[in-house]
Amino acid sequence: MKLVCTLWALLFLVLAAAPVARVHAVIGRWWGIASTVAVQEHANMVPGVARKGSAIMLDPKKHPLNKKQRRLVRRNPGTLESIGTGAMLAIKECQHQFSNRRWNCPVNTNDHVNSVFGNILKRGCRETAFIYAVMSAAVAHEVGRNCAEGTIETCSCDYRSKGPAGEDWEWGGCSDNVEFGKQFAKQFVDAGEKTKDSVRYLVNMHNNEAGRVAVAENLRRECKCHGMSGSCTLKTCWMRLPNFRDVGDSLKEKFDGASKVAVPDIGNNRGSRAKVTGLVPKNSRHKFPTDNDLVYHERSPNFCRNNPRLGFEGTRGRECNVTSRGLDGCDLLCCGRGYATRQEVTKERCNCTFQWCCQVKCEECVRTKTIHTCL
Amino acid sequence: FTPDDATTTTGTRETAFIYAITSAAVVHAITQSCSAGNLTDCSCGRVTGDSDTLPPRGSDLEGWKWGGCSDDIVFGMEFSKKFVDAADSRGRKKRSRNIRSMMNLHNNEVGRKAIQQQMSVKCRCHGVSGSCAVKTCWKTLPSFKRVGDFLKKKYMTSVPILRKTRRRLRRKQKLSRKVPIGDDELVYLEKSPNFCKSDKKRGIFGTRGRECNRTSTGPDSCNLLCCGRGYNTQVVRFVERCGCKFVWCCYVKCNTCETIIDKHTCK
Repeated sequence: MKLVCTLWALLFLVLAAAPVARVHAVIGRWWGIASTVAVQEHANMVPGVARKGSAIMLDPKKHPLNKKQRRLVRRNPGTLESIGTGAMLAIKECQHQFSNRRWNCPVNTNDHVNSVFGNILKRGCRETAFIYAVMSAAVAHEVGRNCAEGTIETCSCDYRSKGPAGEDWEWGGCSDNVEFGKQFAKQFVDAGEKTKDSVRYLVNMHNNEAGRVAVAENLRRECKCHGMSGSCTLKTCWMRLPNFRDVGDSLKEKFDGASKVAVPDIGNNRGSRAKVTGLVPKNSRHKFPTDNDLVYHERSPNFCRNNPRLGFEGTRGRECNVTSRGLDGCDLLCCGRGYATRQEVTKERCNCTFQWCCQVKCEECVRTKTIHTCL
Repeated sequence: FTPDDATTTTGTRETAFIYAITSAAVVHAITQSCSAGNLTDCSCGRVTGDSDTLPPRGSDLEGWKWGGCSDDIVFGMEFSKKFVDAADSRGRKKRSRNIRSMMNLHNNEVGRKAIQQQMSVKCRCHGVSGSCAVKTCWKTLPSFKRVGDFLKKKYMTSVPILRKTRRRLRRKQKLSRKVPIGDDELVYLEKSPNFCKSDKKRGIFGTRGRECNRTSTGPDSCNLLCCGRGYNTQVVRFVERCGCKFVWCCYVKCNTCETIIDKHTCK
């Protein structure tokens, strides 16, 4: 099952790859690396076990990077792969988190658009905020972990916490190097932004940071017992990065509570915190966004109908849940247009039994599934 | 809600609830006024030892008798039936009433029955130093909050009905169509709208600005209540008096406590 999924994902990304690779030279969005990774894994014909560090990967020139990013990658050999897998991870996470929403994080397969996520990036809405945060989080996450795995030459495990720490345990082993991950992601991701004086710049920077903070926040302690026959008289612990799903979950929560911000008028002094980010909440009664909150400065479109300017196809044809009152329910997902219902007959293997020796015998069950799709 | 609102003109579950609770409220208010002596046509309830409707439950054996002022629900029920049902009983004959009127009448009745069903008996002891040698009991109305809670439960399990009637209401669900609809079941005709966006024409205010619960997963959760639009966060400061102490003699000294909480409202 997993293999099939990976194959599908690969096929999908391969389709996306060609156009992206061509255009982002202009735009300079490093996110296109995701598709290059996919192409490469496909070229190796061994999905999932792609040989690391092969020729294409090592040449930064082949990637949609700007000067500063190339320099960074060159100076830290091994990071290019982390960025690539990170970008893929982020895209998958985005699609998972938004699978129940109208905007479901679609990735481009279209020639006329200029980056992986399309024109949604030209806006400054909540969805854009999530994309920036999750992408930057993924880089910090992957680099931090790959440091500990030893695939990046300029960093290794985080050995800063050492020695006895608690009553019955001590620091030891190899902690994921989240500090290096964050630093690298900061330099690399933030280097992708060009115009440095706009609201959008400040908003993007803030969201990049929020993504990295989300990774660090979810860091947790993992321990192992070394006593006699596994008893816990001796215990060593190290810091481990979370599953990226946890990071995605916490970013999705931040997405729900994202604050709408603006740049304050000059001369309008609103206290010290405002000066740090330069952003204040649009409604002065709302809470100031902290480092780990997502911010945006434009309203989201409703994502109901096909919007060519946005490159979003609308929710027509999407599968919906009749019984749900939430956003995945037919009422909200289809924007009140109604839904079509059809029966789908699927054949499934069922009642499998093991027979000596050695085969598994299954019956074939026919199941009818009712599927609702938006009109 | 005003009479023109869609909430009351379309026959949804919300409409059903509104009709039921309004007619219950009339019963409640009238009955209370009767007991308080504010109305000329009624007074305390006629609950006596020999009443047929309310038998003298163990009056002599257990040593108590009806007394005091029982709430006269009969008058309230009759009044509510005449007054509240008047709007929908214009057609003399049952047949000429439309389905919407029948739905309203049914739900009015559910509201009234809700009160009747929850009447309870309260007693007081009059013996020496409060002992229960002499005890009088009377019937009393439930608190209106209890009636509301009861009807809210009925709202959650309300029954969709068919538009075509054969003199009496029928369930929409095919399998249980022959099961008669009880007078403790609210009925409705149409599916409810989602109430997400403001729609002045239909009298829907939308959920923008509503306070939501970030940690809940129920209908008050930010996710469901805000229909996926997300929420704003405000910092709210409460200043309260706290840690109050009595100081001899004679005043009370308090500290002021400040609590700061995050308040979430829908975008």
